[in-house]
Amino acid sequence: MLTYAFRSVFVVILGILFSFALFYVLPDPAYRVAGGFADKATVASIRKNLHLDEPIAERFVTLVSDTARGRLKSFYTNRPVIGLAIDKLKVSLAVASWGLVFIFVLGGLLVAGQGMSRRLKRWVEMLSNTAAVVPVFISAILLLFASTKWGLPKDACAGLALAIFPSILLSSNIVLRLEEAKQAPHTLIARAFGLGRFVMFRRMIHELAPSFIILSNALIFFLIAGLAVVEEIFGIPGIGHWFLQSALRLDLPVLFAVSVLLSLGVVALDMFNKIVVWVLDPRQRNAW
Amino acid sequence: MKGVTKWILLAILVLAVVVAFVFYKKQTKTVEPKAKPRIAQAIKTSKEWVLRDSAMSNMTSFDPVKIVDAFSVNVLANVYEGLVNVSPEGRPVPGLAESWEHSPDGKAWTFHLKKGVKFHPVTGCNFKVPEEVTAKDVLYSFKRALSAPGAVTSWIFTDIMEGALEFAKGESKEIKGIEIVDPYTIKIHLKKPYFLVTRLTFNGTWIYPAGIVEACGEDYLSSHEVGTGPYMLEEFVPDDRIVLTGFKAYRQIHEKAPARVVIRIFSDPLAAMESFAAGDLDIVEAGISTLPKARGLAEEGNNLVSVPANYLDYIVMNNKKAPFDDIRVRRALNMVIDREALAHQVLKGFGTPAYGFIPPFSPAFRGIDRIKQQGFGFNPAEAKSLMETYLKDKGKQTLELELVIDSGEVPETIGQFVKAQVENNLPNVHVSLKKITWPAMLQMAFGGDGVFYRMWWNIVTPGDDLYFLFYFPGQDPPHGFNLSFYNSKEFPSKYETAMAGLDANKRYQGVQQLEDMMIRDAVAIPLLHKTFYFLEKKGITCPVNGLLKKPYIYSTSSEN
Amino acid sequence: MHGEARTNLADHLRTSMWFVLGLALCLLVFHDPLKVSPETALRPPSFTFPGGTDRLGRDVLARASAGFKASLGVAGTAEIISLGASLIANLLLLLLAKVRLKALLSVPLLALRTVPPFLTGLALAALLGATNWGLIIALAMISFPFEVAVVEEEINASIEMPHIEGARAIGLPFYMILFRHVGTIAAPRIMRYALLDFVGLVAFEALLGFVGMTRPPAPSIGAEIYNAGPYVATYPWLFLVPGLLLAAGLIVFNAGFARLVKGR
Repeated sequence: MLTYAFRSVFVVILGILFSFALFYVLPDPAYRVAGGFADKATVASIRKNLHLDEPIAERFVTLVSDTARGRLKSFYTNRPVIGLAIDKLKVSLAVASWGLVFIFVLGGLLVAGQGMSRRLKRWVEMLSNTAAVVPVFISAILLLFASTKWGLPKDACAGLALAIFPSILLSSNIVLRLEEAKQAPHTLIARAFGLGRFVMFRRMIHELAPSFIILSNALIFFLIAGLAVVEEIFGIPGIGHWFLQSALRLDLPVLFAVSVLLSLGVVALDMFNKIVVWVLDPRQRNAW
Repeated sequence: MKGVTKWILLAILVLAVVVAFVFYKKQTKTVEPKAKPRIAQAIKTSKEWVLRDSAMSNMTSFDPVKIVDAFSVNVLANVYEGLVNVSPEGRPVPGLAESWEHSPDGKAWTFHLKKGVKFHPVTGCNFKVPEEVTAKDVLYSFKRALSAPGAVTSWIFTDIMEGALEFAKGESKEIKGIEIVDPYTIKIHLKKPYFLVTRLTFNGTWIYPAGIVEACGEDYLSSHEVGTGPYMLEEFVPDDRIVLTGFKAYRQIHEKAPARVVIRIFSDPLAAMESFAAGDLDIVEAGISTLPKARGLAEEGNNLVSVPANYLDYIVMNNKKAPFDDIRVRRALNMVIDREALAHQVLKGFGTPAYGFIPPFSPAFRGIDRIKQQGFGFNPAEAKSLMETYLKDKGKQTLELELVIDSGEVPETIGQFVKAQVENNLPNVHVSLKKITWPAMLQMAFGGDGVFYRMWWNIVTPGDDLYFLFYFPGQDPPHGFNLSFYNSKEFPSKYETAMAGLDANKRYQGVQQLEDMMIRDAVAIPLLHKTFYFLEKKGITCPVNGLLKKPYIYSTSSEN
Repeated sequence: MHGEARTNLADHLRTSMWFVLGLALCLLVFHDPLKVSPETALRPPSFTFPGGTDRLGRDVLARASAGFKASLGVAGTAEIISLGASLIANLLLLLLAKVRLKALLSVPLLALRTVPPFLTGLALAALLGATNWGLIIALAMISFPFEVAVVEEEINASIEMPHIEGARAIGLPFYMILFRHVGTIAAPRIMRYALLDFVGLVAFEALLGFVGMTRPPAPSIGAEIYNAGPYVATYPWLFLVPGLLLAAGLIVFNAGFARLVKGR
């Protein structure tokens, strides 16, 4: 347990360092801040204001301490970043929550659809294959038009656009596993013994545990990467959109703060995964 | 196994319903921004309305001497004022100075301040705002424009005002050229005769109370405003919205103006247009991708306003680097591009063809047909012969060019169009396109490394001298803005002569001669003057001019 | 014996037919996708231009087809690299686990997942510039940290299966278990993830194009669709033609892969 905690802290630090290292590869923010009047003197004065010429170690320490004290300020708007980040996170959580709801609803419908009959299964499979190849920005644009036309809430439509892909991923995973579980010797034996459906359902839960892990990993990638695109298309002022715009404008403090939040989030998710596995699948309890 | 599936399905549906219920409740929370009115000054009239505007960028700062981007300048133009303001048509009109006169030689200008002009209240600092604006506030603000740390506005005065350069450098404690005659009269002495009025519309000359920085800190003005304008800046949430609240003193004169203005910030033009279509916005700008939809919406009773902009889209050629150091190459490239096709067929009216360097907004603009004759008309035959002569001289068979563009529909379309035109009409020339990000583009251009790239400018203050800012010989990057590395010896003196006149017509003629010189020297490849399109909701009007300034105080709503 | 051989051949033919169909979609280039002609700008689909034309007068179908080919090459190669690297990384993880040094590799991999994908893309764009291989490497590096986790999970789940435990119990060699048994079970699911991930990479390629990693005027299908987004209601063919082509291509390849993997 202690080693795991220690390891998690190490992961967070390493993650932040990775992100920080990338800053040195990006173009010079000072020119972007100066805009169309970027003569040498102005750029130099901007670099000085933004502490861009200090040695690497000092810059990193300043960034971390500023973040911890909530004093980190954006290059562009001179506002404290952490407060803004938390406000925007709340906005994004609304969209992400709708996304999660739709993942479970759609995923559940897809699983049920494929479990009901062979013919339905083939249609559902084909439908989900078609939907899967629709990139997030396409479904988002179509849903944007739908939301304008029929007055649907933007957050819900944005969440739906995000959910299509992960729900198909989750459902296809679950269906595959359920199929195997059906054929697994212990299930066949249990059926032969005439065990009740509910008891078998309980037994099958641990087959699904890995699906949750897959989902949460896919969640980070597709949900978070998709969040920025979806927020941009719907005009929702959430953290994904803010991050995308800040990355394009090279607003380094914002990128740093979001990286820190993401590090913490990923580690928290990893912990959650471990707990889910621990609860659902006793066979994997030694995997720590 | 059907049973198991049913259980899963049931569990998920129950969960979904519960969660959806919880979140539906949260959705009904109001999204309207809570404006915390500065109680003493905000006014409630019986005809209050909120104007809902939209924008595609954020504000970078509130400090008049630090902002350079068009958007910040134009929003704050509603909040701050200088001695001279800008009318809805984009021309200089009295601001804090109700009148002015100049000496016969044009070197001494006297400004008479309006009496009883109030400042906005100060928040977050223990500073007592003066009863009214007086000359000492003007002097204070001008001094700060020249010497505040991080100020980018000293150039407004250093070349024309006596003692300004010395003050900016720290060589003197006072500005020799500013004389306070009495609390409402200020006299400015210039080094040479100059039409000072346009310079005084710049954001660097906006007025705030004397002593504000000493009392509230150097950073105070970056995040707070103490202007005198019709609106107060109530709230700015980056990437979300800006809220302006009416200022009592002004609102008493303009009762029909909006009590509040909420500017929603989008980064995607489609999101903005959809928001307008859904009824959440009163004004939206139509970008190139949303212009067709805007035209459709205009047929439903909304008003599509088109504004010829103070804007130029052009290709920069580094006049000091081969092959662009040879005028034949520069001229050939200019004559090989069908600008009419670009503006009308490709961009479908998103702009007008540019055959010169003065945009249609300027009174000095001579009309497309007239400027076309000066040298950049579409003439592939002559271009081909020029290029062949050049290649023969240099002993080359082909010419390889790399055109750098940034990302976005307009630059990519323009880049691909230019490449096709050059390659189709000049068989020995091959153009490859390189796409970089906008920050990288700025670094390349202003760092002095640009050779052949697409650039644009959009000038948001009146003043004919500004059109030549980006081609001024001697001010090469990284120290200056001469992106083209134009190296004409006669240009600077001709410029001085043109700008020295106080007679507007003489000035326009001088500026036209400068343009002719630049066309003769084929300094760059002008392509397009963008036309800005704004869609106004039925019943709402909001003046907007080629400087992209929107004086909200003159907006009207048919319901009021 | 004869009967079996015939079935195998027919089966192989049917499977390869899907792939051939998919590749045929790359050949619908009846006009030059790069030829600019302003006179024919923004025309709806017709006999001359089956896909309609774009803003620069180029045939949309030709651009979509050429773009699909390019994206197959770029995103496809990136996905293969990412998958290969994930498999190797997981092999290393299993080996390291045997000597109890698993954390040495798993911690950096987890840390990599915390870097926002777009930031990685932006940095790599600045570093590698607009080259084909630069784009491939960038896409592979963005997909890799997440693919590693998925593959790891699938392998872990397969290892716990009773027949695998049985195989271990009777002392079958590690590699035999890994490749023949675990591989057979995990392969279909990993392939399915890889295909969906490939779709994601095609879309991400469009985003990276925005950041400067593509060389106009060469088309890429993700970019074609993304740029056409705002025009869905006004010039729908700009969006529908590449969108439907991409959908068709991916359905076809998915069918092909499903048959390929099921064959086991």
